[in-house]
Amino acid sequence: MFFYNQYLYADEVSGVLVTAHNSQLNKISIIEVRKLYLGLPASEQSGIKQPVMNVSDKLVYRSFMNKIMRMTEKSYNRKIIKRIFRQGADKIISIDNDDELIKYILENPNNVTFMSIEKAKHIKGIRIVQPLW
Amino acid sequence: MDLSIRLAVRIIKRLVTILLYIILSNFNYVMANEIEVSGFASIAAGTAASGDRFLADYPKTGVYDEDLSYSPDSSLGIQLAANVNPQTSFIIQAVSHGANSYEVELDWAYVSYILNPEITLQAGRKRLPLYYYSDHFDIAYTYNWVRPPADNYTWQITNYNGISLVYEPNIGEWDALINVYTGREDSEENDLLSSLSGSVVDETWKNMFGIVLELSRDWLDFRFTVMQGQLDRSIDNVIVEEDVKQQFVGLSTNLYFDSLNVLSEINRYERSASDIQVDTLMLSFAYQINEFTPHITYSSLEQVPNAAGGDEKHSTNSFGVRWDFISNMALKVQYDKTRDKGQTIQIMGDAELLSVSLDMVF
Repeated sequence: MFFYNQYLYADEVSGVLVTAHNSQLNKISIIEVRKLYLGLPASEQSGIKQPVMNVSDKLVYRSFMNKIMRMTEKSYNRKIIKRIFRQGADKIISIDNDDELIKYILENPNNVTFMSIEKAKHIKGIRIVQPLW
Repeated sequence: MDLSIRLAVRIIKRLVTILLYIILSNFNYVMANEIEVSGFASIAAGTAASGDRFLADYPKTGVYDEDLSYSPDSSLGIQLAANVNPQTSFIIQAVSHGANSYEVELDWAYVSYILNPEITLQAGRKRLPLYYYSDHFDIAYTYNWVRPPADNYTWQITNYNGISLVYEPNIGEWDALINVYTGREDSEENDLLSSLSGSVVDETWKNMFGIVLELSRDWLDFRFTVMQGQLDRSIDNVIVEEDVKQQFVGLSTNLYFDSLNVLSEINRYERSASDIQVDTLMLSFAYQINEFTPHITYSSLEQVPNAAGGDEKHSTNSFGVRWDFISNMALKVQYDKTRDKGQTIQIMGDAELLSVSLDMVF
Protein backbone atom coordinates (compact mmCIF):
# COMPACT_ATOMS: atom_id res chain seq x y z
CA MET A 1 0.00 0.00 0.00
CA PHE A 2 2.83 2.37 0.70
CA PHE A 3 6.55 2.41 1.14
CA TYR A 4 8.55 3.85 3.85
CA ASN A 5 12.04 3.47 5.04
CA GLN A 6 12.49 3.35 8.78
CA TYR A 7 15.99 4.71 8.33
CA LEU A 8 14.37 8.03 7.49
CA TYR A 9 14.02 8.39 11.22
CA ALA A 10 17.02 9.94 12.78
CA ASP A 11 16.90 11.41 16.27
CA GLU A 12 13.86 13.48 15.48
CA VAL A 13 10.77 12.77 13.46
CA SER A 14 8.09 15.33 12.69
CA GLY A 15 4.58 14.19 13.46
CA VAL A 16 1.37 15.31 11.80
CA LEU A 17 -2.33 14.87 12.41
CA VAL A 18 -3.94 13.12 9.44
CA THR A 19 -7.40 12.14 8.24
CA ALA A 20 -9.06 10.73 5.15
CA HIS A 21 -8.89 12.99 2.06
CA ASN A 22 -12.69 13.39 2.01
CA SER A 23 -12.98 14.49 5.65
CA GLN A 24 -14.24 17.95 6.54
CA LEU A 25 -12.02 18.86 9.44
CA ASN A 26 -10.61 22.10 10.73
CA LYS A 27 -7.30 22.67 12.45
CA ILE A 28 -7.42 22.44 16.23
CA SER A 29 -5.06 23.47 18.99
CA ILE A 30 -2.45 21.05 20.35
CA ILE A 31 -4.29 21.25 23.67
CA GLU A 32 -7.44 19.99 21.96
CA VAL A 33 -5.51 17.17 20.31
CA ARG A 34 -4.25 16.18 23.72
CA LYS A 35 -7.75 16.31 25.20
CA LEU A 36 -9.11 14.18 22.36
CA TYR A 37 -6.57 11.48 23.14
CA LEU A 38 -7.43 11.73 26.83
CA GLY A 39 -10.98 10.75 25.92
CA LEU A 40 -12.64 14.15 26.12
CA PRO A 41 -15.14 15.00 23.38
CA ALA A 42 -14.08 17.03 20.37
CA SER A 43 -15.45 20.51 19.82
CA GLU A 44 -18.19 20.86 17.21
CA GLN A 45 -16.08 23.31 15.20
CA SER A 46 -13.31 20.76 14.69
CA GLY A 47 -15.62 18.23 13.04
CA ILE A 48 -13.50 15.39 14.45
CA LYS A 49 -15.36 12.20 15.19
CA GLN A 50 -12.79 10.00 16.93
CA PRO A 51 -9.03 9.90 17.50
CA VAL A 52 -7.14 6.73 16.64
CA MET A 53 -3.95 5.79 18.47
CA ASN A 54 -1.17 4.80 16.08
CA VAL A 55 0.97 2.20 17.84
CA SER A 56 2.34 0.69 14.63
CA ASP A 57 5.36 2.98 14.64
CA LYS A 58 6.98 2.85 18.08
CA LEU A 59 9.19 5.88 17.49
CA VAL A 60 6.29 8.10 16.41
CA TYR A 61 4.14 6.74 19.22
CA ARG A 62 6.80 7.55 21.81
CA SER A 63 7.29 11.02 20.35
CA PHE A 64 3.53 11.60 20.46
CA MET A 65 3.39 10.50 24.11
CA ASN A 66 6.35 12.67 24.97
CA LYS A 67 5.61 15.83 22.99
CA ILE A 68 1.80 15.94 22.84
CA MET A 69 0.49 13.88 25.74
CA ARG A 70 3.48 14.79 27.91
CA MET A 71 3.37 11.53 29.85
CA THR A 72 4.67 7.99 29.83
CA GLU A 73 2.74 5.16 28.23
CA LYS A 74 1.96 3.76 31.68
CA SER A 75 0.58 7.08 32.95
CA TYR A 76 -1.48 7.44 29.79
CA ASN A 77 -3.00 3.96 30.07
CA ARG A 78 -3.82 4.54 33.72
CA LYS A 79 -5.62 7.79 32.88
CA ILE A 80 -7.57 6.29 30.00
CA ILE A 81 -8.76 3.23 31.90
CA LYS A 82 -9.84 5.37 34.84
CA ARG A 83 -11.69 7.68 32.51
CA ILE A 84 -13.52 4.85 30.77
CA PHE A 85 -14.84 3.43 34.01
CA ARG A 86 -15.31 6.67 35.97
CA GLN A 87 -16.87 8.81 33.27
CA GLY A 88 -18.10 6.29 30.72
CA ALA A 89 -15.71 7.71 28.13
CA ASP A 90 -15.31 5.95 24.81
CA LYS A 91 -12.27 3.73 24.40
CA ILE A 92 -9.50 5.16 22.26
CA ILE A 93 -9.14 2.90 19.22
CA SER A 94 -5.59 1.63 19.03
CA ILE A 95 -4.11 0.06 15.87
CA ASP A 96 -0.69 -1.57 15.69
CA ASN A 97 -0.49 -2.31 11.97
CA ASP A 98 0.22 0.32 9.29
CA ASP A 99 -2.06 -1.12 6.62
CA GLU A 100 -4.94 -1.58 9.05
CA LEU A 101 -4.48 1.93 10.40
CA ILE A 102 -4.66 3.54 6.98
CA LYS A 103 -7.57 1.35 5.91
CA TYR A 104 -9.43 2.35 9.07
CA ILE A 105 -8.81 6.06 8.53
CA LEU A 106 -9.90 5.88 4.90
CA GLU A 107 -13.07 3.99 5.81
CA ASN A 108 -13.96 6.34 8.67
CA PRO A 109 -13.98 9.94 7.45
CA ASN A 110 -13.54 12.57 10.16
CA ASN A 111 -11.50 10.21 12.33
CA VAL A 112 -7.93 11.31 12.91
CA THR A 113 -4.60 9.73 13.72
CA PHE A 114 -0.97 10.84 13.82
CA MET A 115 2.08 9.71 11.87
CA SER A 116 5.40 10.98 10.62
CA ILE A 117 5.22 13.68 7.97
CA GLU A 118 7.42 11.59 5.67
CA LYS A 119 4.97 8.72 5.78
CA ALA A 120 1.87 10.92 5.48
CA LYS A 121 3.20 12.51 2.30
CA HIS A 122 3.49 9.15 0.58
CA ILE A 123 0.10 7.66 1.42
CA LYS A 124 -2.67 8.01 -1.12
CA GLY A 125 -6.01 9.16 0.25
CA ILE A 126 -4.54 10.61 3.43
CA ARG A 127 -4.72 14.34 4.12
CA ILE A 128 -2.50 16.18 6.57
CA VAL A 129 -4.68 18.28 8.87
CA GLN A 130 -1.87 20.02 10.71
CA PRO A 131 1.65 19.55 12.06
CA LEU A 132 1.83 18.33 15.64
CA TRP A 133 5.50 18.50 16.54
CA MET B 1 -41.22 10.07 52.39
CA ASP B 2 -38.23 7.81 53.01
CA LEU B 3 -40.29 4.78 52.11
CA SER B 4 -41.36 6.25 48.78
CA ILE B 5 -37.75 7.19 47.92
CA ARG B 6 -36.57 3.69 48.77
CA LEU B 7 -39.34 2.26 46.64
CA ALA B 8 -38.40 4.54 43.75
CA VAL B 9 -34.73 3.52 44.02
CA ARG B 10 -35.75 -0.13 44.04
CA ILE B 11 -37.90 0.36 40.94
CA ILE B 12 -35.08 2.18 39.14
CA LYS B 13 -32.65 -0.60 40.01
CA ARG B 14 -35.11 -3.20 38.73
CA LEU B 15 -35.68 -1.28 35.49
CA VAL B 16 -31.97 -0.95 34.86
CA THR B 17 -31.49 -4.67 35.50
CA ILE B 18 -34.17 -5.40 32.92
CA LEU B 19 -32.52 -3.01 30.49
CA LEU B 20 -29.18 -4.70 31.04
CA TYR B 21 -30.78 -8.06 30.33
CA ILE B 22 -32.39 -6.74 27.15
CA ILE B 23 -29.10 -5.27 25.97
CA LEU B 24 -27.16 -8.45 26.65
CA SER B 25 -29.77 -10.67 25.04
CA ASN B 26 -29.71 -8.50 21.89
CA PHE B 27 -25.95 -8.32 21.63
CA ASN B 28 -25.79 -8.06 17.82
CA TYR B 29 -28.27 -5.20 17.82
CA VAL B 30 -26.29 -3.54 20.57
CA MET B 31 -23.01 -3.78 18.67
CA ALA B 32 -24.62 -2.43 15.50
CA ASN B 33 -25.89 0.60 17.38
CA GLU B 34 -22.56 1.65 18.82
CA ILE B 35 -23.00 0.54 22.36
CA GLU B 36 -19.54 0.34 23.82
CA VAL B 37 -18.78 -2.63 26.03
CA SER B 38 -15.94 -2.49 28.54
CA GLY B 39 -15.15 -4.67 31.48
CA PHE B 40 -12.84 -5.67 34.25
CA ALA B 41 -12.20 -8.79 36.27
CA SER B 42 -10.18 -9.90 39.25
CA ILE B 43 -9.64 -13.48 40.22
CA ALA B 44 -8.09 -13.48 43.65
CA ALA B 45 -7.18 -16.08 46.23
CA GLY B 46 -5.85 -15.76 49.72
CA THR B 47 -5.48 -17.25 53.14
CA ALA B 48 -5.02 -15.78 56.60
CA ALA B 49 -1.46 -16.71 57.55
CA SER B 50 -2.14 -15.82 61.17
CA GLY B 51 -5.18 -14.70 63.13
CA ASP B 52 -8.60 -16.21 62.63
CA ARG B 53 -9.87 -13.78 60.03
CA PHE B 54 -8.59 -10.94 57.88
CA LEU B 55 -10.99 -8.21 56.72
CA ALA B 56 -9.68 -7.33 53.26
CA ASP B 57 -12.62 -5.37 51.89
CA TYR B 58 -14.62 -3.32 54.39
CA PRO B 59 -17.52 -2.13 52.18
CA LYS B 60 -18.38 -5.62 50.97
CA THR B 61 -17.05 -7.36 54.09
CA GLY B 62 -14.67 -9.55 52.12
CA VAL B 63 -13.14 -11.71 54.83
CA TYR B 64 -10.39 -14.33 54.48
CA ASP B 65 -9.97 -17.09 57.04
CA GLU B 66 -7.49 -19.93 57.53
CA ASP B 67 -8.79 -21.80 54.49
CA LEU B 68 -7.84 -20.78 50.98
CA SER B 69 -10.63 -18.54 49.73
CA TYR B 70 -11.36 -17.14 46.27
CA SER B 71 -14.31 -14.92 47.09
CA PRO B 72 -13.31 -11.85 49.15
CA ASP B 73 -11.46 -9.97 46.39
CA SER B 74 -12.75 -11.59 43.21
CA SER B 75 -15.06 -9.55 41.01
CA LEU B 76 -16.31 -9.15 37.48
CA GLY B 77 -17.74 -5.97 35.98
CA ILE B 78 -19.32 -5.14 32.67
CA GLN B 79 -19.91 -1.57 31.56
CA LEU B 80 -22.22 -0.63 28.72
CA ALA B 81 -22.15 2.89 27.34
CA ALA B 82 -24.92 3.64 24.87
CA ASN B 83 -24.60 6.81 22.84
CA VAL B 84 -28.09 8.17 22.37
CA ASN B 85 -26.75 11.14 20.40
CA PRO B 86 -23.35 12.90 20.30
CA GLN B 87 -24.12 14.73 23.55
CA THR B 88 -26.05 12.13 25.48
CA SER B 89 -25.04 8.69 26.65
CA PHE B 90 -26.43 6.17 29.07
CA ILE B 91 -23.91 4.21 31.13
CA ILE B 92 -24.50 1.18 33.28
CA GLN B 93 -21.96 -0.89 35.13
CA ALA B 94 -23.01 -4.22 36.54
CA VAL B 95 -20.60 -5.81 38.99
CA SER B 96 -20.54 -9.24 40.55
CA HIS B 97 -18.48 -9.54 43.72
CA GLY B 98 -17.35 -12.76 45.30
CA ALA B 99 -17.74 -11.12 48.70
CA ASN B 100 -21.45 -10.70 47.95
CA SER B 101 -21.95 -14.28 46.77
CA TYR B 102 -21.50 -13.12 43.16
CA GLU B 103 -24.84 -11.33 43.13
CA VAL B 104 -25.01 -8.80 40.31
CA GLU B 105 -25.23 -5.20 41.51
CA LEU B 106 -25.55 -1.97 39.60
CA ASP B 107 -22.78 0.27 40.84
CA TRP B 108 -23.25 2.80 38.07
CA ALA B 109 -26.38 3.66 36.10
CA TYR B 110 -26.51 7.21 34.88
CA VAL B 111 -27.25 9.51 32.01
CA SER B 112 -24.41 11.72 30.87
CA TYR B 113 -24.98 14.92 28.93
CA ILE B 114 -22.07 16.84 27.41
CA LEU B 115 -22.80 20.56 27.81
CA ASN B 116 -19.55 21.43 26.06
CA PRO B 117 -16.23 19.57 25.56
CA GLU B 118 -15.16 20.52 29.09
CA ILE B 119 -18.42 20.26 31.05
CA THR B 120 -20.54 17.16 31.55
CA LEU B 121 -23.74 16.80 33.54
CA GLN B 122 -24.55 13.35 34.92
CA ALA B 123 -27.64 12.09 36.71
CA GLY B 124 -28.34 8.69 38.19
CA ARG B 125 -26.43 6.18 40.27
CA LYS B 126 -22.67 6.58 40.68
CA ARG B 127 -19.85 5.63 43.03
CA LEU B 128 -19.41 8.07 45.90
CA PRO B 129 -16.07 9.77 45.17
CA LEU B 130 -14.79 10.10 48.72
CA TYR B 131 -11.36 8.46 48.61
CA TYR B 132 -8.78 8.56 45.83
CA TYR B 133 -9.58 5.01 44.68
CA SER B 134 -13.31 5.15 45.51
CA ASP B 135 -14.63 5.33 41.99
CA HIS B 136 -12.29 2.69 40.58
CA PHE B 137 -12.02 0.61 43.74
CA ASP B 138 -13.26 -2.53 41.95
CA ILE B 139 -10.94 -2.12 38.97
CA ALA B 140 -7.87 -3.63 40.57
CA TYR B 141 -5.89 -3.42 37.33
CA THR B 142 -5.59 0.36 37.88
CA TYR B 143 -3.49 0.04 41.05
CA ASN B 144 -0.52 -1.99 42.29
CA TRP B 145 -2.15 -3.74 45.24
CA VAL B 146 -4.51 -6.72 45.26
CA ARG B 147 -6.93 -4.21 46.83
CA PRO B 148 -6.61 -0.61 48.07
CA PRO B 149 -5.30 -0.49 51.67
CA ALA B 150 -8.20 -1.72 53.79
CA ASP B 151 -7.59 0.61 56.75
CA ASN B 152 -8.14 3.57 54.50
CA TYR B 153 -11.24 2.30 52.75
CA THR B 154 -13.54 1.61 55.68
CA TRP B 155 -16.64 3.22 54.21
CA GLN B 156 -20.05 1.66 54.56
CA ILE B 157 -21.72 3.71 51.80
CA THR B 158 -20.05 3.38 48.41
CA ASN B 159 -22.66 4.73 45.99
CA TYR B 160 -25.15 7.54 45.68
CA ASN B 161 -28.13 8.46 43.57
CA GLY B 162 -28.04 12.04 42.45
CA ILE B 163 -26.59 14.63 40.12
CA SER B 164 -23.00 15.38 39.29
CA LEU B 165 -21.34 18.13 37.27
CA VAL B 166 -17.84 17.51 35.93
CA TYR B 167 -15.68 20.36 34.62
CA GLU B 168 -12.34 19.42 33.01
CA PRO B 169 -10.35 22.48 32.03
CA ASN B 170 -6.73 22.57 30.99
CA ILE B 171 -4.54 24.89 33.02
CA GLY B 172 -1.19 25.25 31.29
CA GLU B 173 0.66 21.97 31.73
CA TRP B 174 -2.00 20.70 34.12
CA ASP B 175 -5.14 18.65 33.57
CA ALA B 176 -7.79 19.73 36.02
CA LEU B 177 -11.05 18.11 37.09
CA ILE B 178 -13.70 19.71 39.26
CA ASN B 179 -16.59 17.47 40.22
CA VAL B 180 -19.56 18.85 42.14
CA TYR B 181 -22.22 16.37 43.20
CA THR B 182 -25.28 15.99 45.35
CA GLY B 183 -27.41 12.99 46.24
CA ARG B 184 -28.32 10.30 48.75
CA GLU B 185 -28.04 6.58 49.37
CA ASP B 186 -30.30 4.26 51.32
CA SER B 187 -28.58 1.06 52.38
CA GLU B 188 -30.88 -1.53 53.86
CA GLU B 189 -29.13 -4.12 56.01
CA ASN B 190 -25.81 -2.48 55.32
CA ASP B 191 -23.15 -5.14 54.66
CA LEU B 192 -20.38 -3.69 56.80
CA LEU B 193 -22.36 -2.33 59.75
CA SER B 194 -24.65 -5.35 59.98
CA SER B 195 -21.72 -7.74 59.78
CA LEU B 196 -19.65 -5.98 62.43
CA SER B 197 -22.55 -5.39 64.84
CA GLY B 198 -24.36 -8.66 64.35
CA SER B 199 -27.64 -6.70 64.03
CA VAL B 200 -29.68 -5.45 61.11
CA VAL B 201 -28.40 -1.94 60.44
CA ASP B 202 -30.12 0.32 57.93
CA GLU B 203 -28.15 3.40 56.97
CA THR B 204 -29.04 6.46 54.93
CA TRP B 205 -26.68 9.18 53.80
CA LYS B 206 -28.79 12.07 52.61
CA ASN B 207 -28.47 15.69 51.52
CA MET B 208 -24.94 14.91 50.45
CA PHE B 209 -23.05 17.70 48.75
CA GLY B 210 -19.48 17.16 47.67
CA ILE B 211 -16.66 18.64 45.67
CA VAL B 212 -13.65 16.86 44.19
CA LEU B 213 -10.70 18.83 42.82
CA GLU B 214 -8.00 17.08 40.82
CA LEU B 215 -4.85 18.48 39.28
CA SER B 216 -2.51 16.23 37.36
CA ARG B 217 0.40 16.17 35.01
CA ASP B 218 2.75 13.40 34.03
CA TRP B 219 4.63 13.13 37.31
CA LEU B 220 2.05 14.43 39.80
CA ASP B 221 -1.54 13.76 40.82
CA PHE B 222 -3.13 15.98 43.41
CA ARG B 223 -6.65 15.45 44.70
CA PHE B 224 -8.75 17.22 47.30
CA THR B 225 -12.22 16.09 48.28
CA VAL B 226 -14.85 17.33 50.70
CA MET B 227 -18.34 16.04 51.33
CA GLN B 228 -20.96 16.90 53.87
CA GLY B 229 -24.41 15.54 54.47
CA GLN B 230 -26.71 13.95 57.00
CA LEU B 231 -26.96 10.44 58.34
CA ASP B 232 -29.92 8.31 59.50
CA ARG B 233 -29.29 4.95 61.15
CA SER B 234 -31.52 2.32 62.62
CA ILE B 235 -30.50 -0.87 64.36
CA ASP B 236 -33.04 -3.69 64.34
CA ASN B 237 -35.62 -1.13 63.17
CA VAL B 238 -34.91 1.21 66.10
CA ILE B 239 -33.79 4.66 65.02
CA VAL B 240 -30.51 5.48 66.72
CA GLU B 241 -29.34 8.42 64.61
CA GLU B 242 -31.42 10.89 62.63
CA ASP B 243 -30.43 13.96 60.60
CA VAL B 244 -26.94 13.81 62.07
CA LYS B 245 -24.49 16.05 60.27
CA GLN B 246 -21.35 14.36 58.89
CA GLN B 247 -18.34 15.56 56.97
CA PHE B 248 -15.52 13.94 55.04
CA VAL B 249 -12.31 15.65 53.92
CA GLY B 250 -9.48 13.98 52.01
CA LEU B 251 -6.20 14.87 50.40
CA SER B 252 -4.10 12.71 48.07
CA THR B 253 -0.78 13.33 46.42
CA ASN B 254 0.83 10.86 44.03
CA LEU B 255 4.29 11.34 42.58
CA TYR B 256 5.31 9.42 39.46
CA PHE B 257 9.03 9.60 38.81
CA ASP B 258 10.77 7.51 36.16
CA SER B 259 10.59 4.25 38.04
CA LEU B 260 9.61 5.32 41.53
CA ASN B 261 6.00 6.05 42.49
CA VAL B 262 5.05 7.58 45.81
CA LEU B 263 1.35 7.40 46.66
CA SER B 264 -0.21 9.07 49.68
CA GLU B 265 -3.63 9.76 51.08
CA ILE B 266 -4.98 11.29 54.29
CA ASN B 267 -8.65 11.55 55.20
CA ARG B 268 -10.81 12.71 58.08
CA TYR B 269 -14.40 11.71 58.77
CA GLU B 270 -16.35 13.66 61.40
CA ARG B 271 -19.76 13.29 62.98
CA SER B 272 -19.55 15.89 65.72
CA ALA B 273 -22.99 15.28 67.26
CA SER B 274 -22.02 11.65 67.84
CA ASP B 275 -18.53 12.65 69.02
CA ILE B 276 -16.91 10.66 66.22
CA GLN B 277 -13.71 11.60 64.44
CA VAL B 278 -11.84 9.06 62.34
CA ASP B 279 -8.49 9.71 60.66
CA THR B 280 -7.05 7.44 57.99
CA LEU B 281 -3.80 7.63 56.10
CA MET B 282 -1.82 5.66 53.55
CA LEU B 283 1.72 5.91 52.24
CA SER B 284 3.02 3.63 49.51
CA PHE B 285 6.26 3.33 47.58
CA ALA B 286 6.48 1.38 44.33
CA TYR B 287 9.44 0.88 42.04
CA GLN B 288 8.96 -0.30 38.48
CA ILE B 289 11.59 -2.68 37.06
CA ASN B 290 10.47 -3.51 33.54
CA GLU B 291 7.22 -5.49 33.91
CA PHE B 292 7.63 -5.89 37.66
CA THR B 293 6.52 -3.35 40.26
CA PRO B 294 7.42 -4.23 43.85
CA HIS B 295 5.69 -2.04 46.42
CA ILE B 296 5.53 -1.42 50.14
CA THR B 297 2.65 0.30 51.94
CA TYR B 298 1.63 1.49 55.37
CA SER B 299 -1.98 2.36 56.14
CA SER B 300 -3.82 3.17 59.33
CA LEU B 301 -7.14 4.13 60.84
CA GLU B 302 -7.48 5.84 64.18
CA GLN B 303 -10.65 6.96 65.85
CA VAL B 304 -10.28 9.61 68.53
CA PRO B 305 -11.53 7.83 71.72
CA ASN B 306 -14.93 9.12 72.82
CA ALA B 307 -17.28 8.81 75.78
CA ALA B 308 -19.20 6.00 74.07
CA GLY B 309 -16.07 3.87 74.05
CA GLY B 310 -15.30 4.32 70.38
CA ASP B 311 -11.60 3.60 69.97
CA GLU B 312 -11.24 1.83 66.61
CA LYS B 313 -7.55 1.73 65.79
CA HIS B 314 -5.72 -0.50 63.32
CA SER B 315 -2.84 -0.34 60.89
CA THR B 316 -1.46 -2.55 58.14
CA ASN B 317 1.97 -3.06 56.61
CA SER B 318 1.88 -4.54 53.13
CA PHE B 319 4.36 -5.51 50.52
CA GLY B 320 3.87 -7.17 47.20
CA VAL B 321 4.77 -7.37 43.55
CA ARG B 322 2.77 -6.55 40.46
CA TRP B 323 3.75 -8.26 37.22
CA ASP B 324 2.40 -6.76 33.98
CA PHE B 325 3.04 -9.91 32.00
CA ILE B 326 0.74 -9.05 29.08
CA SER B 327 -1.19 -6.03 27.87
CA ASN B 328 -4.21 -5.22 30.08
CA MET B 329 -3.47 -8.06 32.52
CA ALA B 330 -1.49 -8.07 35.75
CA LEU B 331 -0.58 -10.76 38.24
CA LYS B 332 -0.10 -9.66 41.84
CA VAL B 333 1.19 -11.28 44.99
CA GLN B 334 0.83 -9.51 48.34
CA TYR B 335 1.50 -9.97 52.02
CA ASP B 336 -0.41 -7.89 54.64
CA LYS B 337 0.08 -7.70 58.36
CA THR B 338 -2.62 -5.92 60.36
CA ARG B 339 -2.32 -4.77 63.97
CA ASP B 340 -5.71 -4.19 65.60
CA LYS B 341 -5.13 -1.97 68.62
CA GLY B 342 -8.72 -1.10 69.49
CA GLN B 343 -9.69 -1.96 73.05
CA THR B 344 -13.47 -1.53 73.00
CA ILE B 345 -13.83 -1.76 69.24
CA GLN B 346 -11.77 -4.58 67.82
CA ILE B 347 -12.49 -5.32 64.19
CA MET B 348 -10.90 -8.70 63.50
CA GLY B 349 -7.85 -8.68 65.74
CA ASP B 350 -4.23 -8.99 64.61
CA ALA B 351 -3.89 -10.96 61.40
CA GLU B 352 -1.67 -11.68 58.43
CA LEU B 353 -2.79 -12.38 54.88
CA LEU B 354 -1.16 -13.91 51.84
CA SER B 355 -3.02 -13.21 48.63
CA VAL B 356 -2.60 -13.44 44.89
CA SER B 357 -4.74 -11.98 42.10
CA LEU B 358 -5.03 -11.86 38.37
CA ASP B 359 -6.51 -8.52 37.28
CA MET B 360 -7.59 -7.47 33.82
CA VAL B 361 -9.51 -4.88 31.86
CA PHE B 362 -11.12 -5.41 28.49
